Amino acid sequence: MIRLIQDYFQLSAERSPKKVAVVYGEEKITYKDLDKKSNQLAHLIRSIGVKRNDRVAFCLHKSIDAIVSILAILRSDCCYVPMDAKSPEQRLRYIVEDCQPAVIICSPETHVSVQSLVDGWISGKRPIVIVLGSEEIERQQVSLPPIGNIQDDLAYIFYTSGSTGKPKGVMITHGNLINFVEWAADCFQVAEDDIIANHAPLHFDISGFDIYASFKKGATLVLVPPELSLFPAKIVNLIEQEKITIWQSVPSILVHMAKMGALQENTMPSLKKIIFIGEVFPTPFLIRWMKTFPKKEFINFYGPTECTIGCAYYPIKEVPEDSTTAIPLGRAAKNMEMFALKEDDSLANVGEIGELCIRGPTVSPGYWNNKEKTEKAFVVDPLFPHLNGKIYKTGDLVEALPEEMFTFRGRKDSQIKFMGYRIELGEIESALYSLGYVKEAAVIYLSSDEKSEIVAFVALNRESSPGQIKDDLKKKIPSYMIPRTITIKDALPLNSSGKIDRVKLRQECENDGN
Amino acid sequence: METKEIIIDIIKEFKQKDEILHPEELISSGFFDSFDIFSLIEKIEKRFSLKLDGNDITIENFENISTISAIVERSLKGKSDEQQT
Repeated sequence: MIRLIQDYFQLSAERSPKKVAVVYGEEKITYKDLDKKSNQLAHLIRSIGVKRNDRVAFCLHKSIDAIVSILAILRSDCCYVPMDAKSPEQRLRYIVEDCQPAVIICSPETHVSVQSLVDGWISGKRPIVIVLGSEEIERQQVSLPPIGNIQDDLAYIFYTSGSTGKPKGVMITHGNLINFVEWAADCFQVAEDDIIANHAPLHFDISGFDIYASFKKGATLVLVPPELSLFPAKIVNLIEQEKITIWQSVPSILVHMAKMGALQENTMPSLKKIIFIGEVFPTPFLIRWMKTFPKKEFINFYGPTECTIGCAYYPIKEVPEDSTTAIPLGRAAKNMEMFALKEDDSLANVGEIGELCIRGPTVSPGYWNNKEKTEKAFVVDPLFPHLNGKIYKTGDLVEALPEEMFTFRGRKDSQIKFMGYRIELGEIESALYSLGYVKEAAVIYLSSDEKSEIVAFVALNRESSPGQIKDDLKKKIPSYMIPRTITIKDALPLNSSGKIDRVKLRQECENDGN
Repeated sequence: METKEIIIDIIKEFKQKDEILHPEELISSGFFDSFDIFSLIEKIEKRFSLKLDGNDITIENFENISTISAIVERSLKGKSDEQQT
C-alpha cells in the first residue's frame, strides 16, 4: 500500500531491482543500488538526531547523488528543501534562515558556499553539514529505516519568487504528492518501459513529475545535463541516444529547439509524448513542432507550485488553425476542480474573465512561516463558505470556455513567467533598491511570441554603469532575474497620480525596437 | 570592420559592458550564462542577416570570440555561395 511518496520507489525497487532507475551522462544506477545508497544516507541523517518533520536542505548540482539525497531525506522522516546551487549567497541565506534546516547536504563542489552560509548563521540552531562522498556514508546500514511520517506531513518545500523581495516557501505534503502522482502517471499513461527525461532543474517543482511518475511505474529517469539546454542539437542527440519516450519541460526550450533548426522530420523516433508546462507555448512554434512530428502527442500541462506540479492538462489533438489560436489550460485533474471568480466572488460565465481558483487534494497547506501570504492566497471557498474548505487563488486571469475549460489571459499582479521561471517583478525592483545607490527603479517585462525580455529603468544617487549594476544584482538575485538591459535616466517619468509611468517606459522600449 | 570586431561590439552592447574580461573563456568563466546564448544568436543572425546552422551551436563554438567568428564566416560564405549558384 502507498502511504508515503517514497513507497512508489520502494515497490518498484522490490519488483525490478536490476532495472536502471536513473541515468546521468555516463553514470547509471539501478533501483537496488539507489535503494541501498539512499538508505545509507538516511541512516547518517538520522544519526545526527533529526526529528520527524525537520527540514533537510540540499545544495547539489543535478546528479544521481541529488536523487539519492531526495529519497534519503524522505526516508529520514524529514522534508526536503532544494537549494539552487547557482543562486546568490544572499538569497540562499534567506531560504535557509527561513526554513531552519536541521541538516544541509552538499557535494565537495558546493561545500565552500554551504559552509559559509552555516558559519555566518544568525538565528536558531545551526544546521549540520553533510558532504556527500565521505566514507562515513558507506559505513551505514543498508536496511530501510523505520518510518514515522504520515500523509499530512510535508514532503518538500519549494521556494518561489516573492513580490516584496523575499522568496516564499510552498509546502507540499505526502498526501498532495500522492494524489498528484496517482492521477498524472495514469493520465499520461506512463509505463514501466518508458524512459522519462528530466529537463527541469531539481529546485523547480515540475521535476517532481519526472521523478515520481518514473518511480511509480518502475521506469527509467534520464537527467538532462543543464548545459545541453544551450545547444538544442545536443538535446536531440540525447533523446535519440537514451531512447527517451516522454519529455516534459517548459516551452522555452522547445521554442529554442525550433528556432535553432533542431526540428528535423523522422528524428527522435523513440519520443512519444511532449508535455509542456510552466508558461504559455507560443502557438507559432507549437505548430512547427506538430507539423514536423505529426505522430507524437503534444500535451499542455498547467498548474501552480501551490497545487503540486500540475493540476490540469490539455492534449492537443490537431495542429492549431492559425498562429493566434490560444491553447486552453485544459481540464482539471481527477478530484480537482477549477473555476474562475470575478471581482465580486461570483462565478465567471463562458466568455467572461475571472481569477482562476483551484480546490482539491493537491492544494498546498500554504507558505512556510508566512501566515499573512498564506491567508491571502489560500482562502475559504466563497461559493461554499459553510464547508470551510480552502481554495487557492492563483492570481491567473482566465477566460471561461465551455466544458469547464479556460484560457490564460494574464496576471492580476506583476508576476511573470520567463523561461519557465516564476518571477515577481517586485523582487527585482527590491533587489535594485537594496543596492543603496538606486533612487528609482521600474522593471518591465516585454513579451511577444518571438521574444521575451526583462528590462529595467533606474535613476541613481551616484554614478554607475549598467554593467556594474548587473554585477551588483548578481549578488542578490538569480541570473534568470537579471534584466537584459538596464537604462539609466536622470529621473523616471511619472504619471498623473505621481507614480512611475510604466506605460510610457514600455512605449519607449517598443519605439526602440526592443 | 572585420567579423571578429563586429562580434565583439555585439557582445559588449548586449552585455552592457565596456570590455570582455575573458574573451577566450566566455562560457567557462561564467561571462555567458544560459540566458545569454539565445539572445546572442538572435542578435548575430540579425546583424549579419544570416541563419546559423543548428549543428554549429555547440559549447565549444561559443567558448571564445574566434570560434564564434569562424561559424559566422562559414555561414556568410555558405550564403554567398548559394547566391552565386
